[in-house]
Amino acid sequence: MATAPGVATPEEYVGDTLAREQTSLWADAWRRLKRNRLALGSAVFLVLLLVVAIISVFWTPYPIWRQGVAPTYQTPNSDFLLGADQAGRDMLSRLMVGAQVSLEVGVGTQIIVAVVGVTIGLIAGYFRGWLDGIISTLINIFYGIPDLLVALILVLILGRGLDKIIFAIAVTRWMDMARLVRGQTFSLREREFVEAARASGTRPNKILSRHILPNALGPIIVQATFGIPQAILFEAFLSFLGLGVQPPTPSWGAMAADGFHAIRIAPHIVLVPAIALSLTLMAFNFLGDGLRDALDPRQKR
Amino acid sequence: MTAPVLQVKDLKTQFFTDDGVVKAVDGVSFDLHPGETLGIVGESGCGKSVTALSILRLVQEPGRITGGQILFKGTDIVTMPGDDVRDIRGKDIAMIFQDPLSSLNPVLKVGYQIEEAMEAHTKISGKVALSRAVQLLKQVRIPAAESRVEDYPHQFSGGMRQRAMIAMGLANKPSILIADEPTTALDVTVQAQILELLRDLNEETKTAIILITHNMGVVAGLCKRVLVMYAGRIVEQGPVEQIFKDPQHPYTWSLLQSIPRLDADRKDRLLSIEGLPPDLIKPPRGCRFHPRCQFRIERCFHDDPTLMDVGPDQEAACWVTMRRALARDGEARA
Amino acid sequence: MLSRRALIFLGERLVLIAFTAVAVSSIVFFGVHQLPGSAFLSDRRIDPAALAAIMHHYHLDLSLWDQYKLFVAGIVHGNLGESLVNRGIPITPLLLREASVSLEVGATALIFTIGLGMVLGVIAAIKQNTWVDYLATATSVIGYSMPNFVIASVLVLLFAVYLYNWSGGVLYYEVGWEGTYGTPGQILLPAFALGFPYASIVARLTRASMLEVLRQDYVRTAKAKGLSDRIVIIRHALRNALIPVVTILGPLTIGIITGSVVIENIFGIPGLGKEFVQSILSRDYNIVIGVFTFYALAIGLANLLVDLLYTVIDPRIRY
Repeated sequence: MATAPGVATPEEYVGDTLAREQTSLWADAWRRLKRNRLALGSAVFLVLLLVVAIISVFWTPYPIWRQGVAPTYQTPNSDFLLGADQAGRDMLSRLMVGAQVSLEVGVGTQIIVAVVGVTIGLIAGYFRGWLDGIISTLINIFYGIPDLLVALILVLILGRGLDKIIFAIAVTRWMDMARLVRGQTFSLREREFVEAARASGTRPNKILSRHILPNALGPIIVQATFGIPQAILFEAFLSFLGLGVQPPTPSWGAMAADGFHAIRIAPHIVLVPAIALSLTLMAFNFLGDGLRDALDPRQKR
Repeated sequence: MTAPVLQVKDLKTQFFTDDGVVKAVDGVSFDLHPGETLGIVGESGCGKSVTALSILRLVQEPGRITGGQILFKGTDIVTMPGDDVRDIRGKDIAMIFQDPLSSLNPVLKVGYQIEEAMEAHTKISGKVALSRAVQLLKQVRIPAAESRVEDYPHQFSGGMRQRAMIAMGLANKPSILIADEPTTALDVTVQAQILELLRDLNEETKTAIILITHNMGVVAGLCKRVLVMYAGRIVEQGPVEQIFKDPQHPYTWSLLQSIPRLDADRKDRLLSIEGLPPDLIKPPRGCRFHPRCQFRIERCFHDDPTLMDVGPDQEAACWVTMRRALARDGEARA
Repeated sequence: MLSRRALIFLGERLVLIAFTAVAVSSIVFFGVHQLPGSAFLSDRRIDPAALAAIMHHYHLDLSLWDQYKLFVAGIVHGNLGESLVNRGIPITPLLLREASVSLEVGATALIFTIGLGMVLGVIAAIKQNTWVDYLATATSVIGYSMPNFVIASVLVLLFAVYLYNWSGGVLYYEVGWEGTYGTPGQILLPAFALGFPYASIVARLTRASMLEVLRQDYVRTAKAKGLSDRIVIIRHALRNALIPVVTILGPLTIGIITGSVVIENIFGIPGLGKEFVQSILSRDYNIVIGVFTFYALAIGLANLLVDLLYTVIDPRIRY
């Protein structure tokens, strides 16, 4: 391109024609997330929940195992802030420990789901061909089976216990992550920077870990954030049916189930864990929404 | 000279975004006479499409018409009640869009969509509507119109889809047909056919056509007059032949220069316009084109030129103008 | 409409469904036979001779493979065997009856889900960013964040307890289930609790889909033709916005099936879900296999219906 006399200097160009600076995707996302008050509030709530759960490892107002600490069916009063259940156990203490269970289940399952799902998704999406064919068929088969039923059977076979429940839930829910990552890998592997890496002889595992995975990280995080409440909900269902964690370990679902028969005379036994569950699930969902909107490339300027 | 059928006076349309107010159309004025073919040409983002959408008040949030008048046969569209605007759409002023595949509803038959255009404005029976739709398809030269009318958009080829859209636009015999980049999504050979079709239709039906495009060659193929837009403003307007022969605004001149020519010397490099498109939130001071202009003078940095007469029926918004620039520099180098 | 190709497609799919059902029940069959404990151990000490007679009766004294052959032979004729716990009760008619009960509640929940969900979603989309939108969105997030037993508990509290108290004993809602199919009033609460989480999901999806569709070029074309807003939305936007909703209809049905397990237990509804939990707890493995078979069939048929629904909605899809 030939230039003409009097053409603008770079500074003039910048001043006149470029008005906005570029920002990185993460900084941009963080900025957008901060503006979403619902998501922020949810994050605060969840942090508080975590704190309560951690505290409960060391201390609860009353021992959770001991029955008869309070009068049975005690409604909330100054001694027992959330009342007592049908066996005279303090609701607040059990609620706190229940938070532990929920968070462990939620995060635990997602860790397994992330490891398994991401790996399978990357392999299927990158290598395609017959490998993808097998994996996709596997995913479709798993999707066709009702997750609750499979989990119930698994719990039956493996026995009850937090780790076994985490495993059972992860087994039925890994497909969402795998399918997501597979889709992401599909589109990412066609991008120029991946082609460039391939052309310069980079090994597949480096390509996957250095180029594809970091770019898929956003949707993966969003999916995991949504997966946590799904897992917690799942565990609540199992507990409600009496097949969750072994009593007397408190789980919010089991607490609600226990209180159901007394719903007319002592509704707090059902309501306390029910509200706790709902708030926690809502918080995760709002946070997930916020993350997804913040990371949405279409909204980037 | 007959009265203009459309008069746009100082139209301003702005988009209120999180990043600021985008002045997409910033004071555009022009007249359109009955049966006239007018081209609006400019690069992406210059405001030509938004101008067209503003005429029919189809600009969506966060955009709004913020000033000016659009007089259609004397009445101002900008201040008309919503129902009246809807009356005009598709009946007096019709608009067709760039990508006929995405502009036609994929789940409805083509014939149905044409009939719908008629039924929206006149009481017409199913059978009459159908036969008229077939007639329209024939008018736009789609073969086997009777069976084609029952097909879905995805069963048409690109060129035929655009013809079908044109048929839909002409269904109610409008005074004005606005075509927003009708050929951009098509092959070059099909482009020529569509332009020829529009030319013929203009002669047959005397429907005025406003053609929006970024391609000067397309303008030459169809229009009698042309408006050149840049950064939300008209920078030059006049008869097509004159503008092509004797462009006065440096931007117009660059656009014409950058058309590759088959008869050019192999040694000549391909030319393009330097620089980046202007920021419409904070436009450059002075003349909006000056950062990319090779012929600018001191004044261009401070004063914003308005349209001035530069020839019979030709106006340009430039302090320098090409005839003075060429004279001054001798041989202009691009 | 029913061309030869369509019939072949239909036939292929039905065969596939039947095959899958047999496959699923086979897997459960073998899985279940690995489980510890049996339906009989829960009985008080049975006389060994009587035990042997029972085992013989249920072919449990044969090799696993022989048992399996008998099982498959039976299932192909629709015979799922006999209940282990309640001797002499044939499983197939029992499950058929219970399946129809579940279907009654589930279908009601589904219709409610789709109906309410879509209406909410469309309204939220049209009135985007107004208080209507925020309210609808917030309601739907709450909806799918609450476990269905929580919703059920709240409903029971409101209608069975508080309504009675507040109206001084005049108005009350009987929570329970009469006969096999209950009364219309009794179906409402369980169906609502079952469907509400999914209605919320449908609402969100419809809203997002609608917003996406309203941005499309063909909606702009429709407006440019001078069509009224109402026609643009109903005739042009809605059908296209439905497509993603139909897509999740399959997983949605599966969700309602799993949800019914909990809901039926809460409300004492004699459906497949209640039977499932009961059979697991009582170790009546024959019934467990039977329930799984039924569910596999139901899911297969549901997916088939969804695929057929696609062709009605989107003419671009033809099999």
